[in-house]
Amino acid sequence: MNISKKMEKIKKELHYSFDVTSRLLTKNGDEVGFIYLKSFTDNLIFSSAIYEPISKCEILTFENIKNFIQSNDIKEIKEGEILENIMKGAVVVFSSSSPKILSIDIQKFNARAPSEPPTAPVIQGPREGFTEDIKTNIGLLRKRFFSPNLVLKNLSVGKETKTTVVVAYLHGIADRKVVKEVMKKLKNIDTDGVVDSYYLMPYLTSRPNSLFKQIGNSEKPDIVSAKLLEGRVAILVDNTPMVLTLPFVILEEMQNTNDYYTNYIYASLLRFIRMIGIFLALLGPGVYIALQLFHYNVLPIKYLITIADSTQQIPFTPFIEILFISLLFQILYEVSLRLPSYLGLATSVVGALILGDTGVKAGLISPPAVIVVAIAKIALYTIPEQSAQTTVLQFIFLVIGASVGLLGIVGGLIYVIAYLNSIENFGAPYLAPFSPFIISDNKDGVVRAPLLNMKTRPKSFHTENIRRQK
Amino acid sequence: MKSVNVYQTAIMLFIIVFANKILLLPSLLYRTASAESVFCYLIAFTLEILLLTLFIFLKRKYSTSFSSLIKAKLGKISMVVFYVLLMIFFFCKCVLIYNVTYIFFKDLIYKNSGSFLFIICFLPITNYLAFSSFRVLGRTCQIFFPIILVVLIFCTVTSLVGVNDIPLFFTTGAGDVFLATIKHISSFGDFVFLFVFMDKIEFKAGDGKKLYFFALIAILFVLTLAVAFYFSYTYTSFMHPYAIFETMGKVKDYGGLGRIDSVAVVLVIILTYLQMAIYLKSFVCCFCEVFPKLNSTYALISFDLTFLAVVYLLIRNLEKTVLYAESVLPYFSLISFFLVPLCAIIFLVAKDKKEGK
Repeated sequence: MNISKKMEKIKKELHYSFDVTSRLLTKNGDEVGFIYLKSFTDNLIFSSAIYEPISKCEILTFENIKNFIQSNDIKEIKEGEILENIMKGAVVVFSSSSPKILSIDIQKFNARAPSEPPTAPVIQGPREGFTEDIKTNIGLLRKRFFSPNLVLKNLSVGKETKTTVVVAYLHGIADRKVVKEVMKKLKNIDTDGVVDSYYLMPYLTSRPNSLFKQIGNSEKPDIVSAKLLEGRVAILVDNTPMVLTLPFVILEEMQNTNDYYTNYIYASLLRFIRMIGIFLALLGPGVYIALQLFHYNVLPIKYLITIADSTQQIPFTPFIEILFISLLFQILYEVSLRLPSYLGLATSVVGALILGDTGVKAGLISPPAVIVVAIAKIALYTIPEQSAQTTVLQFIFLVIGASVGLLGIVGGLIYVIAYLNSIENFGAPYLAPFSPFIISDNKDGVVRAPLLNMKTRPKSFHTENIRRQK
Repeated sequence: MKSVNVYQTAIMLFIIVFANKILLLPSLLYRTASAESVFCYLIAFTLEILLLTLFIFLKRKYSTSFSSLIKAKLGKISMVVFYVLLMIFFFCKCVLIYNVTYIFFKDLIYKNSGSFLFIICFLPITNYLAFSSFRVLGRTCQIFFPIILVVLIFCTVTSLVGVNDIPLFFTTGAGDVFLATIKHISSFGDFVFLFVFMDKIEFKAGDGKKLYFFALIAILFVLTLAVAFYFSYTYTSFMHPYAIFETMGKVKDYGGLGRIDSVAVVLVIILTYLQMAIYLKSFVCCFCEVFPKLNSTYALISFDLTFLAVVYLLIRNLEKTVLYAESVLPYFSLISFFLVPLCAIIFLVAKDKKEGK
C-alpha cells in the first residue's frame, strides 16, 4: 500500500475529523508522509524540527529520516499503535523506502502552572500543587527525589480515553506485593473512560460501595512525597491534579500538612481539637435531641430551664426543628459552593444573619438548637476531607437520637466502628493504629511526636524497610 | 484464619468481667449475705481465675480448637454435649444481661418507651457484631476500651466519694455467703468464652500474664465498686437495685455539670452491647460446632427467635428475672461453665498421660 493510501485509511479511521492533518514530501521518487492532529501538536516544532530537516535531506531513506529529525521523543512503532500515537499528540511518519513507522511526540497542551491547591492551603511549607498535566506532576515528584529508587510505571486505562496512569513507589521501601496488586487491579479495569482519579477508586478498594473513603488523595507533591517515604504507593492520573495514595488508614485524615511544619506540641493540640471536632460534628445534634426527648433529667437544671423557656413557643417538635436548621445549613452550603464568589458572601449574610436571627425572633427555631447545629456544622470542617461521610452520619445519628435516644446512639457508634474495623485494604486495617493498637504508629496519631522520635515507618501496613532514621 | 492478638483477648476478658456484676448483683447478694457479699465475689472470682488458668494451660499445650481437641480425644458425642451446654449457657447469659439492662433503663430513663425500642437497638447491633469475624469484635472492643477504662475510673472514684458509713461485717455466717454465691453464680463464669475461641487467639510464651493482669484489674474494679456501694448504702443496700448508678447518684449535680450518674448509664450501655456481642458470638460459634451443616445465619435466626420468645413471653420484669437468675440457672451455669470444662480438661490430660504424651 502506498503512503497516500495509508494516510487516507488512517483519516477514515479517525472519521475525517477536521484537525487530522497529513502532509506528503516527495523527493527523487521517494515519499515521506506525516500525519498528526494539528489541534494537539506543536506546529512550530513540527516545521522546525521535523519537516524542514527532512526536506533538506537528499536521499529519503528511513535511516536518514530518523537521523534528520531533531527530537528526543522519537520511537519506532507498530502498525497497530498508529492511532493511539496520533491521538496522544505524536506525528506519525511513513517512508516509502521502509515499512517501519516513526512516531515523534510533539504534543502541545497549555498546562497551568503549579499553584497552591484550594483543598490544602498551608500557613508554612511548600505551596506547590499538582496540575492537570501528568508530565508536570511527575516532574514535581522527581524534583523531590534525586534517587534512582523512585520508580514510575505507566499504563493506559479506559477504552475510549486511554488515560495515562502512572504508579509511583519507592523501590526497597514500598511493599512489592502491594505494587503488584495495584498494577494488576489497574490492568484489569475494563471501562470506557477515566475522567478523574476518583473514577479509579472503586476498582482499587475492597468495599467499592462503602460510604467511607478507602484511598487517600492529595493535590500536594510534598504530601505525596511524604506518603511515598512511608512506603505507600501513589497513582497519578492524567488530566487531574488529584493523586491517589494507598494503603490508606483513617488516621491519615486527621493528619494535616501544617502539623509537620509547626511545633509538635501545638500540632498535637490541634489534632486533639480536630478529634473533638469530629465527635461534635458526628454526635452533637443526635445527642442534643436524645437528651431533650429521652434523658432531659440528665441536663443541669439551669440549662434545662433555658431550653424549656426557649422551646415552649416553638411550633415544631425538637426533631423537626433540628432537622429544619440542619437542612437549611446544608442548602446554604450547596448554594455557596455553586454561586460565584461575589454572591457567596451575600448568601452567607442572608443565611446566617437574616434567616437565623429572624427565625429565632419569629419563634420558628430556638437559640439552643441553632447553637448546637451551628457548632456541629462548623466542626464538620475540622477534617474537611471527611465532611461528606460525617454529614451523612450526622443525619443518621440525628434520626437515631430522635427515635431511640442514647441507647441507639451508642449502638450506632458501635456499629460504625465495627464496620470500619471490618475494612482492610492492601493489608492495612482501616482503624489502625487505634485498633489494632500499634504503639509506634501512635507517635503520629492523636499526638504528633517530634520528628526525631519517628524512627520507623508505619507498621499498619507492610513495608520492605521499616527503619526511617537512626 | 482471622485471629485476635492477646491484648484484644485481654480487653474482651476485661469487658466481660463486668456483665451485671456492677448493676443488679451487689444488691441481690446483700439480701442473703449482707456486707459479706464481698466474699461471694471473691469465691466466684476464684473460680473464674481457675477457669482462666485452665485456658492458659490448654493454650500452651495444644494449638488446635477446643472442639477438635475434645472430638479427637473424647469423641464426638462428648464434644456435642459440651457445646450444647455452653450454647445454652451463653444464651442464658445474653438473656440475663439484656434483661438486667432493660429493667434498669425502663425504670430510670425510658419510662414511657415500649419494649420494642430496646429490641431494635440491641438485636441488630449484637447480631452484626456476632456475624462479623472474631477479629472485628476484638478490634471494636479495643477501640472502646480507653473509654470504658476512663469512665470506670471516674465511676469508681465518684462512688468512693459518696461513701459515708462502714457497714457491720460478719453479721452473717459462712453458710449464707456460700448460699448467696451459689444462688448468683450464673452472673459469673464469663471467662469460659475463651475456650470457644481457643484457636482464634494468638498466644505466645508470657502472654498468660497479660490475661491475668487485665482480668485482675477488672476484678479489682468490680470489688471496689461493690465495696463503695455497700459503704454508701450499708443496711439499705438491698433496696437499691442499680449499684453503680445509685452510688454515683449520691454525688449529683457535681460542679454544675448536671447528673454525673449519667456517665454510668453510658458505661452500662457500652458494656451491655459489647458483652452481649461476645456472648452471642460465642453462641454462634457453639451452634456451628453442634450443627456443622448450618452456618452463622441459621445460628443468629435461631438465637433471635428464641431470645424474643424467652424475653417477651417468660421474663419481662425484675421479679421474674431474679427468679430466673436464682432458681435453675445457677446450677446449670455451674455445671456448664465450670464442672464440664474442668472434667473435660482432666480427661484430656489423663488421656494424654495414658498415651504417654
